[in-house]
Amino acid sequence: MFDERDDLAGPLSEAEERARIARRCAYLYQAFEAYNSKLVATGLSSATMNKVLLLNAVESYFLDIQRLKAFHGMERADRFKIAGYFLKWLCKIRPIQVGPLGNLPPNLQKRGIVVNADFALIHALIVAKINQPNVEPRLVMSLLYSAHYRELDGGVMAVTMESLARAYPRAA
Amino acid sequence: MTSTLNPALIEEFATLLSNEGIRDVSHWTLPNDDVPFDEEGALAEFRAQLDGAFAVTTAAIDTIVSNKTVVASEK
Repeated sequence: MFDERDDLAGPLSEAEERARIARRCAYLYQAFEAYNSKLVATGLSSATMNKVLLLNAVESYFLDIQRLKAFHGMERADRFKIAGYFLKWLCKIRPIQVGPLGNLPPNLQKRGIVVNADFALIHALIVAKINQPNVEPRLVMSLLYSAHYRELDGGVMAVTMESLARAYPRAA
Repeated sequence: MTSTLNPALIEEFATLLSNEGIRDVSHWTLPNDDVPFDEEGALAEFRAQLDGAFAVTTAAIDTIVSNKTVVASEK
């Protein structure tokens, strides 16, 4: 469904580059709003998306993709790279912020602690077209653990997403 | 002060460099049949898929909590 054709790869003017980044920020911000409505419904109502940190994550993503394309002479990044590299940068920059968690039930505390990893993983699973309900819970927990604690490599995350998409394909 | 480079080695690498079969590996990219990313389509897909994905990570988070509860109760 997706590829990053010509994203910031030279032919784009600075104004075009900025427009691409702004559109991607708006997309992720609105995706977060949808995700946050789910958080609020579960009782976690203090999550906010810091727009400056989001911009930092999105610009870092595009620069990373640009570097990848320059190194490999690659024309396009596919959905797995988009999923994997956004997973990396959202987990590194952590643009979602939460208020005090101390008095919440344990499951909401956990969700609050890993909220950036959770949002980034959900986004990656959807972008990669993985049939999420079929993925083993143990594997989801392992992915969530990695997204929260480990140093993520965008390329490794891309092939992880591709592997999951092949194993658990979602109907078009 | 300089050290002379071996011209035979330079010639050998220049020959290797002109071998397209070798260079293909350096420029190897995986096939990609995707279409360009469209933020508005992606946002609609995100919203459509969110319930299922949220349920999956909720189950994982609940598992972490229940595992800790078991460990605590075993002490």
